[in-house]
Parts: sequence; structure tokens; C-alpha cells
Amino acid sequence: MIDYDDWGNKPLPVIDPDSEEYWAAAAEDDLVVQRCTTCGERQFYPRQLCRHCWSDALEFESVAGTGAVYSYSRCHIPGQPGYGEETPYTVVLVELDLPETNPSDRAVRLVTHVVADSEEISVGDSVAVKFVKIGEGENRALPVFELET
Amino acid sequence: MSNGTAVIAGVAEADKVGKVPEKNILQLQAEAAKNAIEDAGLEKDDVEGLFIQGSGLRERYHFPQVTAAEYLGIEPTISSSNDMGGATPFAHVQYAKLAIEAGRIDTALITYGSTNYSDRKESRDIGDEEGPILTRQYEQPYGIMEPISQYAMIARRYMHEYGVTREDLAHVAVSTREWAKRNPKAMQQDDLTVQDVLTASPVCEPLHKYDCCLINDAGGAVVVTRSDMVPDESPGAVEIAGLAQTHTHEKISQMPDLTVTGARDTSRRAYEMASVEPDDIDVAELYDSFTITAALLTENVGLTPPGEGTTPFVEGETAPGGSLPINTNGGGLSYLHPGTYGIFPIIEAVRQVRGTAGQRQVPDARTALAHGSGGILSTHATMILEGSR
Repeated sequence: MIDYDDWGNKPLPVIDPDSEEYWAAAAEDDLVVQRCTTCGERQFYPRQLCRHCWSDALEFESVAGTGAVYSYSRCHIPGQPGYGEETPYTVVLVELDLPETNPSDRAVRLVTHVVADSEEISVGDSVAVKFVKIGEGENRALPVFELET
Repeated sequence: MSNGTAVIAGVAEADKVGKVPEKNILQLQAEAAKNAIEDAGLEKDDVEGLFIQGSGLRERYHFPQVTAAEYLGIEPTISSSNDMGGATPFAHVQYAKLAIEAGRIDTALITYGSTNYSDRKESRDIGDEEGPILTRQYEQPYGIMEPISQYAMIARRYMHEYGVTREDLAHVAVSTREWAKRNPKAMQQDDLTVQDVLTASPVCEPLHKYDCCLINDAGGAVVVTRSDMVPDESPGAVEIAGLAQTHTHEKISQMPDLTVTGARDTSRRAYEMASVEPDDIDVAELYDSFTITAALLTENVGLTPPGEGTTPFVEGETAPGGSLPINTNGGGLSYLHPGTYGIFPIIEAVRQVRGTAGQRQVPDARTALAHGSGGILSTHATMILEGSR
């Protein structure tokens, strides 16, 4: 399992005007997605316009932070700096539970970790978000997931 | 074919492909370009359109096609070095066709070059110096292994949805290797069994070593011209009967459906344009960056129903002598895979419908489907080629 206490030279998100609020919420243990106030579409990652209707009337909304494992892969070679000491490690695609279906019918998914041994993870497993502090001396947190029992 | 129609008149690889440390990326493209122009029976001065895949040069030059044009001594009237990964040469054939059929140019040259094998001897850099910026900041902190982990997620999801096994996918590698044995230029010619594929070292599970493509040096080129420009002694102009492209996403989190790619849409449009059906396809050349890529493309271009993309591989129908020959050059898995493989399915499809594919010739191949894909099954282009023999 990944050592979050020693982030080393693993990548830290380069926060920008699109992502500022997303990462600020994460630092407060809150998972947010953008919701379009014009058409109701929810989207991740945050952007300037609603990807469905191109409205710029977007707001950040807290989500339950529950979802299901959509897919995953156990990596035996590192994909990013600092991950060399972590192999094999597992990257997971989680599909978030939403209060209602998006007008576009698109699901909302994100790449993340599930804090469990790879053998314990299966497609379809229910998961819930938790936040891990990363980056020494900075108020940064990364959303990861735990298996729900 | 009417006189104003664009056709593929010439195709070629560089003189030597695979491991070519003695040549740089411009030399490999120049060799392939000269070979393809000769194959077309045309001359350098006929080239008005120049389309080169920017990858490999883009890291070093601001305007890759301007660099390549200068090196080749060409002053094009239309050019581009846009990049869609493995669908790029297909897109470039489409731009050439549109420009030719609009009456703006007569002939276009499309090239690709890569020294990925020789370059990787240097230390393999991962990550960005500036850190994960813009849309990369949501995935790279998690250690995503681009692009293999994403293809692995696609494979895992596909296996989950349809009950497909690693063994089913292994048959893709085995069938493709059988074809490679008939291609003297193929990098991998040794026997390969399903057991070999299953027991090879894991890379990003469920993908193991032989589920993944090769990494090579190569050059390739295609010449598109107006049908009435083709000299009589040409080995055969090939009609571009159908051609369509799209892209649906760049990141795995944004892929609409992990088992339905843009290939479903591009193939549908290409069949319609060519007025043919999947049943009319005599031979298919499908991008195979990974075993899952070829399996998913097989069904997404309509050659099997959904969930059955591995079936013709398992049943031996895709191998030499089978009823649905796929990746007859040995594919990216066993023939050649430089940075991207997209120009090579076109080259092989042209050779098949010309009837010049040597030991691996599919008897009476008249209609071929070639499909390019890039990114993480992000970009797609389907081409249907008709021979005139």
C-alpha cells in the first residue's frame, strides 16, 4: 500500500484557477464536483464551461463521496516520479454516486487509489472517500477511497 | 473511380525498420518518402501537400512539418503536423483527399518517423518537470502509468462485463505472431503460445509482457494523388472508399464507456461512405497497441457482436488460413510498433488489396478495412480500401 506519510517526490497537483476550489475543499475533507445551474449536469474535473450545455453558470457541490470501483490496474512499473518504491501499486477508476442521472447520461468517474491490498479489490465494490494529507508542510489533501464493508 | 477521385498510389517503409540506431528520425522519414513516391511512380516535385506526424519532432521543433519540409526540399501549398497518435496518418489521408477532391492540390505525401527504440536507451524520464499541470493534475498524483494502466483498466472492465479471460486475450497475441512469421520484416518471429502470454511478467495487470506492443525505430510514408495522375506502370492505385475519424476523450476518467470506443462511430460512417457491410471485409488491419486494443476494435468496427471481439482469435479465424484475417503484417504486437503504429495498417491494407503481400497474401483480398487509434483508445479513424484488380 502506498506510503502517504512520505510523499517524497511524487507529483503534487499544480493548482490553477480551474482547480483551486476543488483542492481547497479536499483540504477540508470535502469532495466536490461542478454542477451546472443551467442544465443540471455534474462534471469532474472542474472547468470553465459545462461540458454538456456550455453554460458558465457552474457551482461546486459537495457529493456523498460514495461510489463503486469501475475498473483498476495493478502497476508493476512506476508511472510517475516517486512511485518507483511503491510498485506494485494499484490505480483505480471510481464511479461516483450522483443524486440524479446527468442530462448527458455521462457518469462521473475519477482516477484514485483504494486503500486496500490489490487482491481485495474487485470491479463493482462499494467504496467511500477519505482524505490523505500529502506534501510536507502544505495544507494539501488527496481524495482516496476505502472499501465499504 | 472518377478522374477527380483521390487514391492511395504509393506506400512504403524506410529501408530498414526495427532497430536502426544508425539513422535519425528525419532520415527514416526521408527514406520512406522516397520509397513511397517511387512506389507511386511519381516524382518529388509532384508533392504539393505535406502531412507529417509531429511526434518525435515536436519535442525539439516548434513547427515539425516546416522542419521536415525544409529537410526534404519541399515547399508545400498545404501542410500540417497535427497529432492524433495512432490515428494521425489516417486523418492526414483524409485531409489530403479533401484537398485533392476540392481541386486545390494533385498529390500529397504523408510521413511518419520514430527513433523510439534507440532513444529509450537513454534514461527513461517519467513525469513532467513542471509537475502535473492543467487537466493532468487530477490523475498524475495517483501514479497513473501512461498509457498502459489505462489500457489495463479498459481490459479489466471488458473482462468484467463480458466474462472474457486473460486466456481469450492471449489468443490475439498468438494469432498475430503467426502472421508475423510470414513477414520477413517482423521483429518477433519466434513461436508464441497462449501459455507464454499468460506466464510472462506482469506490466500493468491484467496486461502482461506479450499483451503489449513492441517499441521500435521506423519510418513510413503514404502517397495520395488524383486518380488520373497515377502512371500506367503503377503497381495499383487503391480507392479510398470510406474514411472517417473522431475522438471522444483524452483521459480515462472522461472515456464515455470503457468497452465502446469511437471506432463504432467511425466504422459505421466509413461503411456507409463505401456502401459496404462488415461482411464484405476480406482482411482487417486494426491498431494493436495491446491485445485488448485489437479485441475491442474487432467488435467496435462491427466484425463481431459486442463482447465477442476475442472469439475469432480464439477460434483461429483471424490467423493465416482463417475466414477473418486480422493484422496480417504481424501488427504492433509482433511486426513493428514505433512511437505510434498508425501508418503501418494503411501500408499493409494497401499491399493486401493490391495482391502484393507475399507469403502473407490473403487470397482474393479486394476490400480491406484499416483502423488507427491513439491515446487511450481516444482517437479513431477507419479506412476502407478497394483494390482495382
